[in-house]
This record gives sequence, structure tokens and C-alpha cells, in this order.
Amino acid sequence: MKYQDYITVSSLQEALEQLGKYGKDAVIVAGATDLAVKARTKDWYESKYLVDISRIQELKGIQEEQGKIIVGAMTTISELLHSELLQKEAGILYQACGNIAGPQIRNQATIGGNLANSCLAADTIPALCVLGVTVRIMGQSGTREIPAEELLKACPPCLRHEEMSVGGCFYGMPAGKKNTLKPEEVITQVVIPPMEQDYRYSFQKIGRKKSGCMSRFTLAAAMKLSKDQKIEDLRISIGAALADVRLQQEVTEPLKGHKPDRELFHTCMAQLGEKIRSQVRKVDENIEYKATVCERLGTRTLSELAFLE
Amino acid sequence: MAFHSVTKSKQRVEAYKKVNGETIFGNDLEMKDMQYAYGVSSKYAFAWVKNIDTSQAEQAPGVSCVVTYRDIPGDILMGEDKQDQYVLAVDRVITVGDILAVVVADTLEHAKQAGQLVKIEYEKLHELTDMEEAYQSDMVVNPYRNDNLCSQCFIKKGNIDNDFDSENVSIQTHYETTWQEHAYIEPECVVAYPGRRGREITVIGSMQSIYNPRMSIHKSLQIPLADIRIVATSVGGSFGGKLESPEVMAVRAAACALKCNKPVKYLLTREESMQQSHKRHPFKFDVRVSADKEGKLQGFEAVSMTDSGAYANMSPGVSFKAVSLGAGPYVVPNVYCAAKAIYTNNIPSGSMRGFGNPQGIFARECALDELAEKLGMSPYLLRKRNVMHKGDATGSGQIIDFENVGAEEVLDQVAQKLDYEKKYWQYKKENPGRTRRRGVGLSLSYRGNSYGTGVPDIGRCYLEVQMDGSVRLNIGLTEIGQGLHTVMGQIAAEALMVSDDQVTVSESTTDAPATGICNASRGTFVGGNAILDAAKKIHECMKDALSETFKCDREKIRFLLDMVDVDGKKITFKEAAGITFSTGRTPAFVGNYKTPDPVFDEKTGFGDTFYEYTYSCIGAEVEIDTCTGETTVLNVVSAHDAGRIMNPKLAAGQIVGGAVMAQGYALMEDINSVKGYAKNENFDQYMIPGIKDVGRVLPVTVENPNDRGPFGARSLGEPTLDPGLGAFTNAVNHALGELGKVKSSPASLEKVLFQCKGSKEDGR
Repeated sequence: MKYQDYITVSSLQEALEQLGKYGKDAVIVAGATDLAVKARTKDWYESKYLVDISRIQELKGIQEEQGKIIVGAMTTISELLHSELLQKEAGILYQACGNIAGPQIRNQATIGGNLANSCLAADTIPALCVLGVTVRIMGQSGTREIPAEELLKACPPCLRHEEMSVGGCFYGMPAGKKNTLKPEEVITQVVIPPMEQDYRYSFQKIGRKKSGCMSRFTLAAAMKLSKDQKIEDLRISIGAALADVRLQQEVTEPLKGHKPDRELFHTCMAQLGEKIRSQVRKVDENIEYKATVCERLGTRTLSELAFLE
Repeated sequence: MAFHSVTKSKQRVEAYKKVNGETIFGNDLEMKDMQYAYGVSSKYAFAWVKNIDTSQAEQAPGVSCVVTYRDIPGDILMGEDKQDQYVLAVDRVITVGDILAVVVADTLEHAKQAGQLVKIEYEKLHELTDMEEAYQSDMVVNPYRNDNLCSQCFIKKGNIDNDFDSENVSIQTHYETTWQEHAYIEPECVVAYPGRRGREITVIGSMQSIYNPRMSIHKSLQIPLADIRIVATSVGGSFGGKLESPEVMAVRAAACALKCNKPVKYLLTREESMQQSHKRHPFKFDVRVSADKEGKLQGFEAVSMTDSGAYANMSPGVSFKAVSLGAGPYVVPNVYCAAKAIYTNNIPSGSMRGFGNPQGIFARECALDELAEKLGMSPYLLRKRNVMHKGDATGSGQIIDFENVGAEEVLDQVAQKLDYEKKYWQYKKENPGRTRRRGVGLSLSYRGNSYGTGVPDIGRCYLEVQMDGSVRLNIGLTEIGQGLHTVMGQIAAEALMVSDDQVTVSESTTDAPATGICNASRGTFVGGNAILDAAKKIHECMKDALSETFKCDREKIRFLLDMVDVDGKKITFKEAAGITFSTGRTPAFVGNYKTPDPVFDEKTGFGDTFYEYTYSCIGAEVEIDTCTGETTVLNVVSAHDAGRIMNPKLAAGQIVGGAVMAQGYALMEDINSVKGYAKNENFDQYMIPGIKDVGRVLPVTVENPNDRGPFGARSLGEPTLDPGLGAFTNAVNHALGELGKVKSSPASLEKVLFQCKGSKEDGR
């Protein structure tokens, strides 16, 4: 891998100093599971200064704070999978983590990195949207906290990247282009509101293999039924299929207050399928696959969550 | 028969060092002054080359020399079946893997950087990547043939056209297969170094074949055979992939080593290996098969076309295996199987485990399932009704009367252990309306061991008993991870009547007499028979010495385990060895074995094709998801009759490995070839099964030995994969049922899902 310099920092303060010093030429390195693979295909970082934040203690750890789960940005996916707190209170994220790559990658990859890399096919992101997490970001001017959905930017060009492989990614430096991170900013924590116990949820990733591959389609869904068995809340986010990964409120809102019904679910997911198709001028096999899976898998999943099958 | 070494699960001779990480693979080799080679590959799949300018590259930092076609004094063309491949491009490039120059430098980084400075003037041509287009085109892909028809062959029995009218039930169908990458864990690497006497050259590295590289170096660099030494290191997987590919690398590396007079390491990255190394032949089949109303097969026809890529490589052999074995181990009165291999500008096709048979089996076995459906019969019973037995004739008319044909036995084993019959009808009934549907699939096949008719098939080895009674076996058949050296050692120990810890199998080098390639599922059969010959000669020699020393009749001398009974007096094998040497004799001999050549008439397509057969059956159970197109493999049973099994644990490993490789081929492996380039250059995009994809695989062996193989052994390397593509595809198609059929490899997510479209099972 070619680069100008590789600087390992041990505090947030130091990190911000280095980022300030190199500005647009600074690239943050966390677990490097995206960065190192991209570098194998192309010399993206030849003119860049790599700032390694993996030793910063303030970025580690999973805590409870005022009823919310605070996850340090440098927490690895493996560490998330070892957290009983997460399994109990944010099970959909826990399920998502189990679907990421394989054990070796999970030992290195971080939740902060998954967010900052902002890939449309990233596995944690649909789960984070369903959970309604916020992301704490530190920069020169201080800290800000925004919903995860406001961190990500829509990226239509990525829809042309058929398999969405890491090595073939069009963006060596996603900061600012695929997300709203300003130069010299670093994600510090992810704040997760625990999911209420009466929500039923499901996370499904469809890939060409059962492990160790990019997602062809991801579905994160959570449903709450009221005491009289009507849909009180429905939260859906899909990955690897839309240029804009967020909660799909336009399709779920109309279902609130209704009795769970297969036809209803089918209409909702078919709408989402159409949204997938409408993103491109010519629907090729790749897009048609995702739209069809969205419709079918979505309908079945919602039906299962509502005890219809 | 009681054996002391063969039929036992002896631990692999190289196991400990491999697990420990001590094994030396190609890229582990380090030498004083070693240089690194980087091959500058073609920018286009098809172009004239007007000029190759290496002057700037030669001046780049760290560069020792740059090698082009001008540095090849002898034959500039090389190849397996036909010499139709440029060692280094001259006036044209016909595939993206063609190399125009090799830069040699002190580090790989320097060599790569200098490689960017090689200036090539191309005149691009329209690349012919579709075989039907190439066959019709006036453009000549490879000057060896001006009609782009690389080779063709057929088998014929009876008259096929008689049966496609009348009251017979028939189907007409079409199946296609695509490329498959060998995906060995170790990419190609060879190191060439000049010896101390000037013209001597050694090439050591990851190679499956050692005599062919030696011959190619001899022809291209005009060095006497005796001055060329090829050594195979421990090979990190090959499956046929390290025959053609490192051979051309060996010639280039040797040319580099001689030019700069230093050791030269030439290794490929995974991406380079994907682009440059040959792949499994893609095939297209038009199939017709007919049976009477009771399900007795009347006619089978498979007419196919295969993509040879830019070079012939093994296309004639691959085509011949596809056609000669194409009708399967069934009694069919009328047969016609034909194949044409076409030159295209695609990545060259070449040796790959199965060598045409998996493709031919796939087309036939899937067609048989279609026929069974039309007849309203169980696919298992259709096969059982038509399976060959001893005394029956093959598709080309060869009567198999020299062994019990184990085909029905392996079929029954699989059907029984998979509970096929029950599941076939049960799933067929239960699937409609479900989004998770199950299916079972069978595939029955046979494989001719070794080369077959018309190809010289000779095995040799050098076996020596040392003065201390220990034994050294030197055999040029390579250990590529299949356990061959272990089995060769066991056979030597058995034949000599010594404990197997007394036998050492040396690494494969050309110091051992020429024995052909370790391919075609011939290793155990041909190598083993050569060892038996050598062992017999050793015993005769020792008998001469002992009868002279102890003054007794030769008939009174018997070899027992590690002992010799000399007319009632018992001495150790070690003592006997010492005595033999002291009489001035040497208990060390070359063993020879020549497979009798089956008589086949190419012009009529009729006759005997192979000397020995292995019978195989794989059954698979899968679950498909109509919402996602995913296929989950639940159960696999894989049964084989390879005569007497030499090492049960190794055999089980081969069987499971073959099933997993077939699963990848059937469900997920796909080279995304665009304009002659493989777009998926690494395993993030070329999918091979991982541990979570593999279901339960139950290996089964049945034994029907005959006296042709060593201790009744036959070969297993390729049969373990052969019927897999057919079995998995049949299982997926059974699960799809009325929704549709997948008729090409792989049964990818998209293919399965789109068969399910327009069905009522829209997840509603």
C-alpha cells in the first residue's frame, strides 16, 4: 500500500490535531478492513496521510448511559457480538453483526468504520436505522449528534456497482462524498435507544454464500402490535438496493392502525420494489433481482413477524 | 487377502509439516541473489502487436534484464496437444493472459514498476468471445487452424435416428456449463536457477507436471534434456490448474535465469492467476434421449460445442472424455455423442478435475431426470432399469467383462442412504404453494481411468532398497495434496513386504524416469503398477543373492513382513538387503508399466475406450427459497466403486472434497468474462463454498476389485467430482418443480429466483 505517512495517535486530541494539520489529505484508519482491500486494487492513498485511531481508548467500550447504549466507534463487530447488553436490548443489530463477513474481518472491523465507509451494502446500517440510533461526531468546532440517517448521503452511482465489492468500490475516500462528515471530523460514539421488548424483529442478509460475502439484499424490519392486534409501529430499512439507506417511512406509515394482512404487506413491499426499480432508467437483471427479493422476502418476513405464518 | 499396508488409513507422509507450517511452497524458496520476474500481460484479448519496446524498462531501477521472444533461441511455440501457444508474444496477442515481456529485477516492486515502462504498439481487433460467433467468423483466432475448429471427435453405436419417432417417449433439451476456476489456495510460483556448468538449469516450484515443462524448456531454449532438472515443491492444490499454467511460466523463468545468470522467482498474484491461468471448458449440449413406455432407454444423443479459448491445450482430450463417457454406465442400443472444440479469444480452457466428464454427465443426468418426469417414473428407477452390469456394452460398444460393474451398487447405496425414493415423491407433492421447497437429485456416472485409447500411457518409477533395509521410492507423479505419495509409499511397502515406516517417498523430480503427468486419475493405477514391477525385480534380485549365499533353491525363499524365510531359516529384511549388496548386486530397479491400448476406431466412433473404469454416484438434497433464490445444501451422499481402496481416510477426504468442489461448480462459481477479461479477479467476487455452505457429506465406497490395478486399486481423484454438477442441479430442479428449470451452471441466486417468478408463491 502506498501512502505519504502513517501516523498512529493515542488520543482524540492528537487525532484532531493530525486531521487539522493534513485537512483533505488525511484519511482515518480504524480496522482497515475496507481501506486495505481498496488499496489492493488502486493506489487511492498514495498522496494521503493515514491517521490510525485504533489505539484511542476513549473510542472503545460499550456502556449504558441514561437508559441508552453508548458504543464506542472503535468497538469491533466481534466485541458487539460478545455483548449481552446488545443481544438483549438491540437484538436486530446483534443479528446484523453475525452476518458480517467472517470471524477474521469481524475481529478487526469497527462499527464506526462501517458507518464512516457508508457503503450502501453495509450490514449494520439498516439495523441502525431501524433502531433509530444517533451518531456522535467530534470536530474542530466541538461535538454534534445526529441521527444515523442524516450521516449518510444518497449515492446513485453505487447502484451501477453490481456486486458492491469492497475492492471495486468507486470511492477510496468516502468522507464528505457518501456521508455528511466534514474534513477533520471523526465519529466517536453510536448512541442506541434500546428496542422495546414487545417489538418483533428480523434481520436478513442475502448473499451468494452463507458467510464471507457482500450483501445482494439486506432487510431489517421491526414490528409492534397493539393490544388489539393492530399494527402500532412498523420500521423497515433495506440495504444493498437503494441509493439512500434509511427508514422507509412512506411505505410503512399507511399500515399503522391496520390489522396485519398478507395482501397489505405485499402492497407495501411491492411499493418498495418499485422504488428500487425506479432508481435506474433501464432495469437490468441485477436491479430486477433486488426488487423481486424485496417484494417476496419482505412480504414473507412481515407476515412471519405478525404471526401470519 | 490380508494386507499390512494398503487398505489401511496411513497418515499422510507430509501431514505433520504441513499442519506445522514448516512445508516449503514455491513462494517460500529464497536464494542468494534471487531476482523477481514480472510478466507484462496483454492489454487486449485480440490484437496485432506492431512493436515491443523494452528500452526504457531495461534502464529502470533494479532491473537485471528484460526477456522477450527475441531471447527464445528454439521453438517459440509450445503446447500440450498442439504447439500453438507463444511462449512470449511475437506479432499478435490472442488472449488477455498472453505475455509480451518479462521484466527481471531485484525486487518484485521494481519489476512491476519497470513493467509499466514497456511500450507496446497494438492494433486492436474485434475479440471473438462467443464460440458460435468464432466458429462462423472469417477471423482466425489461432493460426494453428484457419477455421477456428480446434478439434472434434465422436462415438457412435447403432443408429440414433431410428428412435425419435414411433411410440417411444423422448425429450429434446439443451444444457450449458460455464468456466470453473481451480481456486487452489497457492497461486503459481516457480523458481529457475542456472547450475554451475553453464547450460544446466533447474526449475523448482508449484507444478503438477514435471516432464512436460522439461520438454518445453528443451525445445524452446535448446538445452539437452539431461541438463534440465525440474523439481516439484509441495503443491498447495492444483486440480489440473498447475499443468499448463506453470509450464509456460517455467520456460519464461528459465529464459530469464539464463539471461541474467541468477536465480529468478516468477510468481503470480491471485488476480494474475485468475486472468492468465486456464479454466474448465465451458460446454453447450443439445441432448435427445428416448425410452420405451416401460423406461428402457432406446437412444441417447449429445451434440456439443466447447470453448477452447485461445489455445488447444487439452481440448482434444477433454472433448474425448466428454463424448466417450457421455452415454454413461447405461445399456443404450443407439448412441451418438459428438463434440467440437472452438478457438476463441477467451482465457484458455485446460485441465480441470473431471476433464469434460462432469460436463457430459450434467447434460445426460439432467436430461434423464426430464425423461423420468415425462414417463411419470422415479429418476432412481429409470436409472436402475437401464444400468450396466458385467458383460454389457458401453456407449461406444466396449464390453466390460473384466470386472463387476459397480454402477448399480453405488446407485443403490446413494438412493438408500439419502432416502431418495420417499423424498422424491414427498417433496414433489408438498412443494407447491411453499416458499421453502426441498428437492433431491441423483447423478450416476463412470470414468475411464488414465488416458484411454490412442494416448501412450506409461508409468515408471525408481525403487531402491538401501543397505540398512530402508526403502526409497522415486516417482515423478506429483503430490498435489491428493495424498498420492502416501498411497505410493503404501503400495511399495505392501509389494516389498516391509512395514510402511521403512519406505520414504522422495519429492518428485525429473531424476525419476519419465512417467507422464499425474493427471487423468491415473496416479494410483499406473504409478502403483510401475511400483509392483520394480518390487518384483527387487525381490528376484534379492532371491538370487540369498540363494547364492545360503546355497538353496530360489523357490524355497519367501518374503514375510520385514523378514525373509530362507529355506526355514528366518533373517530380517535388513540382513537380506546387506547380503544382497555384499554379493555385488544392487536391489534397486526401474519399474515400468504400460497400459494396454484399447482399440477404438476414430472414423466410426466405435470400440474400446479405456482399460479400467471407476463407477460413481452422487445424491444431493437441497432446500431452495423462492423469495431469495438461495439454495441450501442439506445432505450429500457420494458413493464410488474404485476397486480396492488403498487408504480409506484419504479416499473419504477425496470424496468429500470432490463433492464440495462440485457444489461450488453447481451453485455459485461463475467467471464474469467481459471482452475476454475475468471481471471477478479474487475470491470476494468469485464465490467458492465456505464452511457454512457445506452440508453433511457422507462418503461411501463399494469394492469390486479386479486384477488390472495394483492390489485391485483403481483411481478416485476425478470420479469424486464427476457426477456432482448433475446431482446438485437435479436437486434444485426437483425443488423448483412446476416453477421451472435451471439448465446452465451455476444455479445462481438470480437464475433460481427468476425461475420462480410469475408463480403464485410471491411470498403472499
